[in-house]
Amino acid sequence: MIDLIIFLVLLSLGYFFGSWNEKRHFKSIRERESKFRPLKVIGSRRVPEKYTEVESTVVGGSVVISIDYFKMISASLRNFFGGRVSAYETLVERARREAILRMKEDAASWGAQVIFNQRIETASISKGAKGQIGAVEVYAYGTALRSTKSSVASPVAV
Amino acid sequence: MHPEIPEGINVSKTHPLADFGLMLVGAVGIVIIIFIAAQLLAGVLVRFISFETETRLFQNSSFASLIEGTSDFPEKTAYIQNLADQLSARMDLPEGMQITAHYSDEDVPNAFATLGGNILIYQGLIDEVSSENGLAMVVAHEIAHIKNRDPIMSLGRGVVSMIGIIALTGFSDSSVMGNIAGFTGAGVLSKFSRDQESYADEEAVSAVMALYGTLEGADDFFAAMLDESSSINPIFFQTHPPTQARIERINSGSQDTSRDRNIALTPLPDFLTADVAVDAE
Repeated sequence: MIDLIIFLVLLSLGYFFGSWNEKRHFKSIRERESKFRPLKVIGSRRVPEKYTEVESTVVGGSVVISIDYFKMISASLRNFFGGRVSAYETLVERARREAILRMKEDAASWGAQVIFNQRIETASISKGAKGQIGAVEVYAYGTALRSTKSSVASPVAV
Repeated sequence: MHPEIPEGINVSKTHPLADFGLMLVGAVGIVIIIFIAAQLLAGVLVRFISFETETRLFQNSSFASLIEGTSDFPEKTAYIQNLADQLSARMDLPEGMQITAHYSDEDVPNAFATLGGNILIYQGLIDEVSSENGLAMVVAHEIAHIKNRDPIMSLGRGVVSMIGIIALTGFSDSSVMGNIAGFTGAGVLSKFSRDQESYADEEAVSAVMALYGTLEGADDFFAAMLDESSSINPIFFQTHPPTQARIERINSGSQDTSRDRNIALTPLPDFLTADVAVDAE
């Protein structure tokens, strides 16, 4: 009985802190995304010829986000029934957008005008080992370009 | 400038609580269905185990160690055996079923029935009752368990439930499913157990009534337990019905209370209530 009470307390704590954090994070992501929207991110490897007199550097941003207890239990049940693991969908979405944002912040502080060849790497921290914390790492990186002419400024002022 | 990315296209629209709730209800439902089916199956299969087989099982099992060393008190054991014989004569036991009484000087306020028609009464229980009537109620209750084949039934249910839990947790590596199966299974098992206890109480009431002609004093033990019990477990997880309900069942068994009161209670013999050390000499 005590076990059940502890379980329910953990579950509700996990849910309330988890969803509170998630809401806050999404709000911050949306705000920063609209701020960095002028800085274009392009997946293509080839830089168009119009970009002359530019210098380049690698920019990147990584983030590690952990699941909460509620998501863990919910996903674990989903493991039994099968189907979309909606508990993890928001987790990966947050990590992806946050990593790209951090990359953009990195690029903007360098004075980039555009980012080419953007790539994303994902890693699961615990690799499914039992009794470990479930967390996902997303690393976004790309090649930032900035003009060598002082007259061309970065689209985002940092 | 980049177009604005539409929100929420990568995420399911289901509310996480609704998603979780649905799965939880489903999981609990599956477990309940599996357990009830397993219990009913065990109940059917137990009928194919004869009482002789059960007795043989008992002698070769670890259950036999439960009554080890209880034969050091021949006088008390003989008294309880005699009481058990008188009661079982009024309980319509099936052919070939033998009740063997055992006594333990431990201070546990308890008694139990196990495989092979063995019942064990603890000194701690005898200390809680003030007359033979109260003791007879408990002894009759244990005999009723034997009569209903409850010990072998519980063993069978235990085995089937264990297989059920292993099957449920085996094919999914989620320990959550195992925990749900554990909790829900315990609930289902205790419901079956409560039913067994209520049924045994009913039979015990009529046996005590047949032997003494009164139910006065029969609720001694439960009344004593009521004063001490302070369980925080909700009814869902309890293996026995609420003590208050058991006392009420005994009281409702005696309809003509005015007649009941005229019959004197049978006292317990002195050697049973005397200090254990004296008996051992």
